[in-house]
Amino acid sequence: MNPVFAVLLPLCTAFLIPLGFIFFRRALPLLVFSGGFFSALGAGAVAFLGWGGISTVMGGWAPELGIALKVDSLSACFLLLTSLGFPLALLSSAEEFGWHSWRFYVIFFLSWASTNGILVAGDIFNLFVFFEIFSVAAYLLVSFPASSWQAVEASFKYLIFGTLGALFILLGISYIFMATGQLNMALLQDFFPALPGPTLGVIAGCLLGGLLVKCGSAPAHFWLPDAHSSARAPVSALLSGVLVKAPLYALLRLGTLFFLSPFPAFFRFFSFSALSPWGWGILWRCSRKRSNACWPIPRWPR
Amino acid sequence: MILLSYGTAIVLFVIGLCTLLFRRNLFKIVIALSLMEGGVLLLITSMGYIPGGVPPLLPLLGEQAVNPLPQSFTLTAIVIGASDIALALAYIIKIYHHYGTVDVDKIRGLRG
Repeated sequence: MNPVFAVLLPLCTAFLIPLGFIFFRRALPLLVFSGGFFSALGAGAVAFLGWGGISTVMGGWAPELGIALKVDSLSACFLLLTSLGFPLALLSSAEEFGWHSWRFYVIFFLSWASTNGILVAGDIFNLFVFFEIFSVAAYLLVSFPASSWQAVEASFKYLIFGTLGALFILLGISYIFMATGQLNMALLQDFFPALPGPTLGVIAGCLLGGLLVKCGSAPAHFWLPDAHSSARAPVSALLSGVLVKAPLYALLRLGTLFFLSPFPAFFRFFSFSALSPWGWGILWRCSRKRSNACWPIPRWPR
Repeated sequence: MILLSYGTAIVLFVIGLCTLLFRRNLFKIVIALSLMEGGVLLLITSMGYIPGGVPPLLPLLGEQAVNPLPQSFTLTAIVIGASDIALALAYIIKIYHHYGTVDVDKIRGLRG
């Protein structure tokens, strides 16, 4: 099974929802529900079939030119997580916002598609592109009913730090391209051992800095408590349950692929600090709600 | 020549980063993001440069064309950056309507 289905199904649903709102307004709940069901089914099927490893290149191009997609056991684990987490968040947001708030569901399915895209991307530039779709969708999800000024502020803060992180990731990607002339992860694996240490260090620093800001890990978690506490309950659950895990996946993927021998301790420390139940933010945040938001694990809806 | 281009890119990126860190005006923060993005894009575009290369269009007008791959990356990244900045400006309008100011120090939620 082609891994592109994990991206295609939620993406098509996202663009069908406005059409459904205009032409078949009564059938909108059915469209949203069945879109969510089939997206989860598609992602689950890709995860199960791709456990042993699938890789394809779209459009019949050579691997160094085309858009490479690949699934292996690491991305299959995270795909299973998204195919469980997103439908649960969909049901809980249907309870919170109703089935007819179509703007929310467009953003929701876009974030679903881009999260799956991050998980199946086989080259680094596509990883970046999916990351940006994911981030824009996440900023909008945090401030969804834009009536709350707290949510708008938190979302603005998230946007500034997220874009800063994205620019550092882009800088790291451009250094990789400059050093090797390749962006495909499978091909890069052969190029990396030949690179000199300082080059690898600069690339690792840029990617690590960017991804740490994106996943709200220990030294770069400024945006996380605000965004989680001011978002509505289903979005907050989605953020901490699934969306924070996508940069973590990228960190694990790039860490194991490229830098495992020179930088093991770095990556392990920061991934665990992002996973650790008690973010460091609690040390200097006294607000109770915000310190609760430091739990990056799914919470019960309020 | 190409070193000058790389240097300009990094200087632009650092100017943007310093502006982001030390300015308190929301619009200047967004301008800083835009500057940093411009720096990275200049770096990517100048990576594809080959001395004596011609534009990568068929039929080729010279011996060797410059690498078209970084140019297509730049195009994608420009679109992404534009959407980020548009969203940031929309949020600034919302924040301005609520507070009547764009100074970070006077906005409660952005101070911490």
